This record gives sequence, C-alpha cells and structure tokens, in this order.
Amino acid sequence: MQAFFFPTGDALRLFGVWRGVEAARRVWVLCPPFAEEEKSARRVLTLIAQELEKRGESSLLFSFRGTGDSEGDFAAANLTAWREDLRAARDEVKKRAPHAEIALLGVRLGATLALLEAESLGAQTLVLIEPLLSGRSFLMQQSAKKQIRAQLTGEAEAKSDHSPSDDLDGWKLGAGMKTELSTLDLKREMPSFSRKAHIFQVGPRAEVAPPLQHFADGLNSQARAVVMPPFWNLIDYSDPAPLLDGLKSEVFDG
Amino acid sequence: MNTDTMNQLKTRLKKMIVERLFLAVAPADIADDAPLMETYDIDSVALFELVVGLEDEFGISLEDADFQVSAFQTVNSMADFVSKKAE
Amino acid sequence: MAEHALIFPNARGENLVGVFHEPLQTPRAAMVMLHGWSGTRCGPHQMLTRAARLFCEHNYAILRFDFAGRGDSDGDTELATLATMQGDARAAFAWMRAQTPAPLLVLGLCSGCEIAVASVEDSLGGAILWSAPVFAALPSEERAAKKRGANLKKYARKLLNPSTYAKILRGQIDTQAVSKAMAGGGGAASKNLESNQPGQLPRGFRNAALEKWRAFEAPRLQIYGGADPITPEALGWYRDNSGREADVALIEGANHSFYGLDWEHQVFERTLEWLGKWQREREK
Repeated sequence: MQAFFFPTGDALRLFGVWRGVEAARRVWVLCPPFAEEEKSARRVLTLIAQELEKRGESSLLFSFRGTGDSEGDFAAANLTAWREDLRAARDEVKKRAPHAEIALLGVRLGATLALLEAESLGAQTLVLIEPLLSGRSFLMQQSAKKQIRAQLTGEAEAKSDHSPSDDLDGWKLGAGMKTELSTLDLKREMPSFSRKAHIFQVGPRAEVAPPLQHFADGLNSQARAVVMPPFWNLIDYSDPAPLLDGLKSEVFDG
Repeated sequence: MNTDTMNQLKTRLKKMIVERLFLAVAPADIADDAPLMETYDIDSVALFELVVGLEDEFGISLEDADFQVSAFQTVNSMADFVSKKAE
Repeated sequence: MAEHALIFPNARGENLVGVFHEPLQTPRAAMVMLHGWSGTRCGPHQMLTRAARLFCEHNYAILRFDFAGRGDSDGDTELATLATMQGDARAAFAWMRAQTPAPLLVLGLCSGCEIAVASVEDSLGGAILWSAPVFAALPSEERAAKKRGANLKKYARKLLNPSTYAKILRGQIDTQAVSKAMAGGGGAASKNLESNQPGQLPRGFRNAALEKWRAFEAPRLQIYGGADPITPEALGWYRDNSGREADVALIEGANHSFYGLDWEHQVFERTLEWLGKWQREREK
C-alpha cells in the first residue's frame, strides 16, 4: 500500500491510496461518492481495494478536490472540475502502470462521474454502484436529511452567513456545483459507453427498480440488485458482504 | 381518495417501511396508528430511508416547504401525506 | 505549510494511513487527532481535515490517521475496540514524537475522545475533546437515546442551554437521573463489554484506563453541541471522573457532529482561543 498526493492539471494535489503491484494487468480507479457520503463509503471502497489486491489487481482510491484529504476548496468545486480530477487519477495510474488496462468503479455520484468519463478515459471495465441518476433529486434528499435531524432533536438552524440550502451539513455548496447537480439527469441524457457496464443497485429490494432498469437498458447493460442497507448513508458500519459477493461473481471472477 | 384506495396505499406503505428498514415484522403486523418512531426505533438515518422510499416507490418528491417529521409518525399520517401530495 | 501522506505501523504490524500537517516554523505544539468510532481521519464534513489545516496555519504540527479497520488503514473492522484503538493512538504519539520535540496534545472527536481518555500519558500536554461521550459506556443506551430523538426534544430544550449546563458542572443537576430518563432501558450486547474475546475489551481495561484518566492533570477543553442529547450526561460524567476541571464550551443549538458551517467555525475558534490560553499558561 502507498499513500500519496498526485497532481491535477491545475496544480492541486489529490490524495490517493494505491494498493497492489504497479505491474498489474488491470488497475482500478475507485471513485468515492459525494462529500459526506464518502465518509460512510470509504471503508467499503477500501475493502473492495483489498479484495482486488488479493486477486493480483491494483487500485487507486482517491478523493475529489475539496473532499477527504485532497486539496482545493469544496465551495469552489463543481462536477466539471471533478471530472478533470478523475482524468488526473487516470493519468496517475498510467504513470505508475503504463501498460495496465484501466477499470473504473464508482459509488453514487462517483459512479455517475465514472460513467461520464469512461469512454474518453479508455476504461475497459466499468462498475457503477447505485449511480446517481438525478442530481436534483439528490439535492432534495440532502435537504430532507438536514430537516429530519433538526426536527428530531430540536437543534437550532445554525446562525450563519450561508444560505441554509447552501450549507449541506457542513459542506458549502457552491453555485457551480449546485447548478451542475441540478441539471444532472442521466435519465434524460444517457452518456455512451461502448462496452457493457456492470450496474449494482444497493438497497432493500431484491428486484431492480424500474428507473435503474431503464437506465441499464439504455447502456445495453445488466443491472443487479444487492440487498443490503445503503452503506453511504449509515453512521455505523454495515456488513458489505452482499456487495463484495456480487462484485466477485459478476465482475472480478469474469 | 376512497377507503379501498386508502387501504391499498397503507398496505404499500407498510411493505415499503418493512423493506427499507429491514424490519423483522410482517407488513400486516404494523398497526395503522402505531407510533412508528417509538415502536420500531426509527432514528434520523432510518427516517431518511423512508423519505427516499417515498420518492423511489411513490414518486413523491419532498420540497423543503412541506417536509414535516410529523408526517412520518404513523402509517395513517404517512398515507394522508402521500394522498395529499398525489392530488 | 506542507501536507504529507504517510503510512506507519501500529504495534500489531498493521499499516495505518495518515496525513501529517507540517507548519512552516518550529511548531508551538504537536497534536494527534483521533476520529470517531465509525469515521475516518477526515471527520464528519471533513471537520478534522479543515481543523488541521487551520491549526497548522497557526503553527501547530498535526497528525491525523485512520484507526486500524477504519478508512484507508489495514486491519479488521470487526475486531477494532477501544483497546486496539488505544494502541493505534499510542503508535501515532510515538510517530509524532519522532518528528518534533514540541509538547504533544491530543484532540478527539466523538468516540475519538474515548480513545483520548484511554490513551493519556503523563507526558501529554493537554487534551481537547469535541463531543466526548461517557467513557466506555454501554453504547446501546446512547443509541437508544438518540433514536428517541422526538422525545428528547423537551429534555434538550430544558437542559441544553448555557444557564443549565453550568448547573450540571457544579453538580446541581442529577445527570444520572436525566440520563436514565433520556436513554430508556439501555441494551445488551456492547462494544464495551470486557470479555477477552476478539472484538471485545480485555478484562479490566475500563478501570485501568479510568484510573489513568483520573490521575491525568494536564489542561483540557471540552466542546459540546447545545442540542446534542449526550451533553448533560457526558458533562456530569466528566465532572465526576476527571482529575482536573475542564474548560467547557457549549455551541448553542449545535448537534453532536456540528453539522453546520457556522457551528464548525465556532468549534475551531473556541479551540484556537483555548490553545492560545494553554500556551500562555505554559510560558508562565
């Protein structure tokens, strides 16, 4: 394992953890979900990286600018910049493992960004875990989460210079990010990917929900339902075995 | 909304609650007027799951202005909320 | 200032991932930050990363790291306990001491405070505890309290305001009774059981750690959210179980993890104020 910072095109440093040998045949870029969801998802992504390492494959788990330990101001970040960050992660992989195949695996918004960049980054394998299909819906859910906590505990709305809707539980949502998230809609604008993607629904239902199935059909790919709690939202750890088993049987063993 | 439709809605809501919260009870065992938070130890994370469930499975999107935790007190209150939003 | 990604081993040989924030000048003090039970070195809403960057600007050297089984570090999630985390914290203290002879402080957030309590050494210069829960309590009680959030509202409003928390500190409010009312019946299985089984605490751990904490005399700062249900019970517990009175700051209206930009800012400001005072006292 190596922990390091690597550069973006605009000279920021992103934090990354590399697992596995640099001479691996295939290297995975692991893309975390949005901001606070990364905290809950980070361990699951590490467990995926460890599983890949056991199989002789390598991975780079990184954080987008303004999140985790990567440099940059979250309030100034936007999806365009994060797509560039993904490109910087791919470049770092190519620097370390010039001959390796590139694989992308993302969770939630990380999956969405991986899909948007997969073709141009030359990814040969693409795994999307509960991709975020609608940015607007995501923003509304974040607002609901905040209201739930405030109403349950009686906590005061923080007296703040920031508009309440721009303070996502301690993350300052910049205008650029808000605009780009609000218009993000994979149901209307389906990105193209010339290979089959592996799509995982994670949640309580054993059947793939119609919107995700429709999305998978549009990508000419299969979606699979994994029954387990939405780990990116949880405070405590949950057993990631159902997802790891699904990845092994559907992707890693293939 | 007539009584039959309301009952069907409550049945769907109970199924959603059991599935989303991974509860070890049969949906039919949830009483319409049982206080959900106290009976099933629903915390803020679980409540958020119900909000997502309403959106995913009932097409209900919650705008800031109309969100109240009290709408999630019982199956009855959830059904009232969903039926009003659907109007 | 420079930020260095790093990996260092704990006593069990597991690799822990961290970031070292190195100030431009000789540091006034060094600080090891300890994250919460299921968190990462970055903290909720990146709070620990942001705090480390800010404090480093004020010339403090900071180490943040993921406990074994958490975040990016090696180790088994299921086997982590306060005891294994205590070992990780001590490995971090040793790593930091190898970098600088500056006096060493520890900062904990949420359950990270329990690790701070369990890890104190006479040579530590002080402790900063953000949202410290009762040390090694049965967590199911705490969880039950949180889950009964709606019922907590009336208690929270009555108890968690600046005039009443002062009474708690003076011992004028029976926090045991309050905690019982707030927590309900409590629970059974616990991460804090002492059994010598894998994933549980070694027998005698709690009392041994408490003994050291009670004997620990260095200055300490405790910051709590005013709307955090754990605050009254925790304040009472620390009042009754500490060898020295803490400086206490209450962030009005804030929740347990300070999920709001302004609350976060207040926590940082109060901590920097306290660090200034801490340094002035050392220089006397």
